[in-house]
Amino acid sequence: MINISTDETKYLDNELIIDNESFFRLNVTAKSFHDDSIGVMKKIDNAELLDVNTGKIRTPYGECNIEDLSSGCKTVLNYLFIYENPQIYPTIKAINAIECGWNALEELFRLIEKNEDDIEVLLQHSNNTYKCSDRDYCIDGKRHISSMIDF
Amino acid sequence: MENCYNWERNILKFADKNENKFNLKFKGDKTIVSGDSATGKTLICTLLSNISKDKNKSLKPYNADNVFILTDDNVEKLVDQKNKLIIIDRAEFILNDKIVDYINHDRENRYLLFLRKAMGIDLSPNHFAELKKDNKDNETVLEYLFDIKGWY
Repeated sequence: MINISTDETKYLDNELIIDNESFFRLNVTAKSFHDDSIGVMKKIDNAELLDVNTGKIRTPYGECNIEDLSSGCKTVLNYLFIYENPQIYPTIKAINAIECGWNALEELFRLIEKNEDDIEVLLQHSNNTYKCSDRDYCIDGKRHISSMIDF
Repeated sequence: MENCYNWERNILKFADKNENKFNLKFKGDKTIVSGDSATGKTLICTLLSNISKDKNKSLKPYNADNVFILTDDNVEKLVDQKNKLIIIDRAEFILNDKIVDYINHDRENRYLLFLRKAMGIDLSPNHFAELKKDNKDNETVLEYLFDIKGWY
């Protein structure tokens, strides 16, 4: 089940990753990437990691760095980081998905479901979200839907 | 040296060293772009910012003097801008009621906002778009989402 929240005010500062660009910049390096991370980069940004030490990547736009990945991709990589390192930020309960297009959102949902994780996704837009796969979604702890068409 | 942004034709057109081309034809004074992740929204801002910061005035291929990238760090300069294309990436993090109100009343500048959440920007429904890349030409263009009669 994916827990979706639409209200950021219910979280304390240390419970929500609100700014995924900054969180990524300050916490995530290519050295922390595992198979899921490599797959996410490929799926969302069509990016290939060239150098794990420098974070050099190849994308359809040319060679650059993991800092140049899309904000949506970084959001998903942030989720993987906190899932794989729960001891670093044990207070985090939710991650802001405002920077995720539906393609990044789908990857985020897929991984949360795969990990059977109860982290909440703060979702304050419905831009093409109907394209996400059917699954069990719980909205604000109250409403259950199976299709994001009903979000 | 070419201007990235042609005010008269309302077109943002330039290329980078990797031969990525951008050819964005705007319909009006405000355009909101959303859509999939990794379509080049932040890349456009980064490239234009690099052009703006380039001090090699005679050597750079493009001029971006009539483009202003609005960020958290220069928000106070918004009111000083005239006859510019103002680009706001991750606008959810920058816009507040005061800035939205300013944008809605501003008749001197044009705006390109990368934004997914409704924030009160007044614009025609026909000015919502996504970025699409033509892989054959390696050119990114605007694909407008709606064409509703009665709206400009």
